Amino acid sequence: MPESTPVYGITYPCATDVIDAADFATFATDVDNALAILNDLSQTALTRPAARITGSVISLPTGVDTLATYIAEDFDNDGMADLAVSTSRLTVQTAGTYMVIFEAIINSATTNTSAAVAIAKNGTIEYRKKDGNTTNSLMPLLVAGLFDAVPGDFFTGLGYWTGTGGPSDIFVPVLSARMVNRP
Amino acid sequence: MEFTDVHDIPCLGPDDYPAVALYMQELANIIEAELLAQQTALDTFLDTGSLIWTQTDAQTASPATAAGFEDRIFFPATPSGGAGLSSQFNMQALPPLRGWYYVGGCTRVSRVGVVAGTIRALTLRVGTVGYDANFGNVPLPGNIELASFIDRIVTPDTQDFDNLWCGGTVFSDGLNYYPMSLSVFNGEAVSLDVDLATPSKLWLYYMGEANDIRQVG
Repeated sequence: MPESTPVYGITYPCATDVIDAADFATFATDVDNALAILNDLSQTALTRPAARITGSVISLPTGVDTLATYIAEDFDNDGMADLAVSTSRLTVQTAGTYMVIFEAIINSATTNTSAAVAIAKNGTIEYRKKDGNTTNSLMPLLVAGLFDAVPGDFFTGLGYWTGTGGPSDIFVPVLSARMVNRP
Repeated sequence: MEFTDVHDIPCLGPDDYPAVALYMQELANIIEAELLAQQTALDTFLDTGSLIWTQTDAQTASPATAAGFEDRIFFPATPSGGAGLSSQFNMQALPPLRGWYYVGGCTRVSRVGVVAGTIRALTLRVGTVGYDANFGNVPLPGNIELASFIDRIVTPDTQDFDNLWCGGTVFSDGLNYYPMSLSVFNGEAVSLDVDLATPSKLWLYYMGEANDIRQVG
């Protein structure tokens, strides 16, 4: 009776077996299948799911977390961005742990007292960076966080502002996500 | 081995089957070992470990003091059973890998009472803070302040002083425990508390071995 290796199941004949061409064919096929497993792993390692989308200007009322929207895909190797369906999100296609970064510039107004950017998963804010401000100036902000995600989960970036003379604006929002670990 | 009738060309015969079988078995085992080594390397690269920890307890910083998660997060993950370690944190799955990690923290800070010009500093630190039972006051390698973020409220802002975030990179030698802490300092002199309310998060993931990442400068 043929036996096989414990991990990849590469089949080989035993000493008492009658050997014919089929044994060599089976052997080659098993090695081929094992190599295919490694090929898949290599491709995953080389092309971890990642995407980045960028936007332009979104009006930002005071005291309200406001979704940033996007107009361009800088890159996307896993179908996470679909701006024809939604202009505000990256949707996870492959389960894993993702590093998500959102950055934007909050515009100046008559008086800026604070500005913030945040990242939400499935509509719930999980990470936020807020900055106070005593001068009326542009406020570039960046927030980053790690998320466990499964297919269908989606990430969004939000802007927030308090002050007078608004509404303010979200300038050049950038939302990116990259898998750092498989599940 | 058998031979042809005229020219005595050798060819395999039934007596050679055991040798062929042994050869194929040996070949299969060698191929498997080589492939397994590559798969292990790829799996390590893809699953090097990450941790997302959410703090569910609110804490308070009295005026001119700090509050936070001192000595609550340790990596590598090998439990030591020392002070500051709870069963929850011992369950983290980060492997004790030598190399660089990217770490970050985020917390919500809500003010209590009406204040103006209040300074709050969020600090992410790796290393002992001098009172841990495992280490006493002995400084450890990597006892560094990774990142600090300072902000303030100005009159007449009526918003909660909202979430802060900071992050940085840290090196682990794969041997020692490195407590990782996230704390908020309340810089107001009087009449102010700072609440660390949910959700507060600390996270980290492995970036790579030291030999793979070059320090510049």
